[in-house]
Amino acid sequence: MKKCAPVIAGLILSTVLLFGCSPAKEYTLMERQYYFMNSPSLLTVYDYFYINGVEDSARVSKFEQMAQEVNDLLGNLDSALSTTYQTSDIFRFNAAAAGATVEISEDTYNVLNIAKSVYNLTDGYYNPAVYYSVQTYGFNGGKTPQSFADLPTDEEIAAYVELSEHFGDLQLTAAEGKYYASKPAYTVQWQGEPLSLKLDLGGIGKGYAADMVNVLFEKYGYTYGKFNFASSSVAFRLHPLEDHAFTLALVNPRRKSENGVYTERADFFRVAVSDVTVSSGGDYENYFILNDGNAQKRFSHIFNPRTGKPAESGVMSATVIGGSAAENDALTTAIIAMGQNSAVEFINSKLTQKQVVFTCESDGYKYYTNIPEGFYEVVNESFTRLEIT
Amino acid sequence: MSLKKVQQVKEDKGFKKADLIIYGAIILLVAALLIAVFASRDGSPPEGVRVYVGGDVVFEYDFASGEYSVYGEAVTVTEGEALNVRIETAGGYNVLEINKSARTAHITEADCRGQDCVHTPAIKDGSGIIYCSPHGVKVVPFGTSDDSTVIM
Repeated sequence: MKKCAPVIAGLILSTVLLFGCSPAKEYTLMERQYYFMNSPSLLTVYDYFYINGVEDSARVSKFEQMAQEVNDLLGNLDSALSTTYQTSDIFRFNAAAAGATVEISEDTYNVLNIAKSVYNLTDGYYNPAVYYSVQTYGFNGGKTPQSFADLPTDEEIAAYVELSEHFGDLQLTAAEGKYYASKPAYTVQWQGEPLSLKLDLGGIGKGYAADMVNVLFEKYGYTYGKFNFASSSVAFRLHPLEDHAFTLALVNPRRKSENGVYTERADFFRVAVSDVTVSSGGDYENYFILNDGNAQKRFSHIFNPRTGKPAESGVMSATVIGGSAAENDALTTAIIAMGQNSAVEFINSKLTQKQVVFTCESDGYKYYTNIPEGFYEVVNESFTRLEIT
Repeated sequence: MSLKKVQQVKEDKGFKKADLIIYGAIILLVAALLIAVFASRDGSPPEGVRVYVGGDVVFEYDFASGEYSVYGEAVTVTEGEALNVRIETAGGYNVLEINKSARTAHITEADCRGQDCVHTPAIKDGSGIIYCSPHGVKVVPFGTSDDSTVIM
């Protein structure tokens, strides 16, 4: 036994050095950035790209192949869903006469099917037919109003709302591998011109893209990674470290700053997520402010289809976790448009399979979530839980 | 212990030849493992560096293209032979110097108490991280697994 002691000690030391210090094989990440749909996106994949400091060319090549396929996918979606590319499905649909039928791609067909489904689920609070309102308020290519005098009149907005209420009449058909969208025959008159229904799928396209990239993660057999489409939609796989979860940190929509320097942390809410898609939106991104005497009024890119105007419900941001990112993308818009009381009722009756967080201004900054307590962390004390009476 | 056993132990003096072979083998094994451990570190230069403040990405520099991105208003960049990046936080400031040709990045100045970040060696490969705990500033090379937080 005495003679064996140094041998045993040596073996223990060897084992510690071999497995305890620095494994020869560990996950590293590769990233690829894109710019489509007027927004940046980022593909991240974790794999054994280096072994003992030497690049594994087969694994790197596999990543490059997926990155190229993602590039092609995003390019095709942008080309199909854009409101400005003259060859896109949506541009051609918008330009078509009332009652016309337009051939569209399978992706556009899928996106429109999801849009119709969420339109029905939210009782019209998500409606991609708010095209004219979005344009006239200066979003998505329109001219930004510089004063209240530049804002559209109630009469003009009423005409747009009347037209958008016919989104439910849009017909989708598929036959012999081809896909079609038929425009409602309904028109409204504005300034002597008949207006037919037009679409803006900006509130759902990035989510659909995240869903499609998620399918590519499966195709390439990647367990670890994520795909961020700006801060709008993210497809999370697993993280290679610790508990395999990512930390989802939700933006404080009213982050304070002094002299151009932030005095508060960026997030207010944290929750662990893995193998799930998430979409988020808020009035803190893509907005303009007009001065009304002593007060300032914020006009955000999120529209209330019932008023035809930028949402003024008091809900500042919404995040939806689980299921389809395309659905979630559209649902965030609807939750912000419907306002806090209707949103709580809607979440608890219709979104029981999803996790939702929204913030609102209601006697201070409040948040509401259906995530059970203990599974999330509020990291900014200015946000207190919205109590429902 | 019996008298016979004590006598036997007394007779076993020094190392036998077989013992020396075993000890020698162990020393060689340990030496080989140490070499393998250090050789496996990623010594290649970083492709770029990313600066986080409180989990928020505020700055990125890509050594390959020489291009940088600033997110938010907390970062000011002075271009010269080196790139000087001043990061303002609620707790104070840090200055990151990026040597474009040497592909290194290090904190040259900060008003934090400990000054640990200033004394942290420059990032010059894919494995280093500079962390200023009082200011919540973190400088990491591209390709490290430090992207587990997503802000949206």
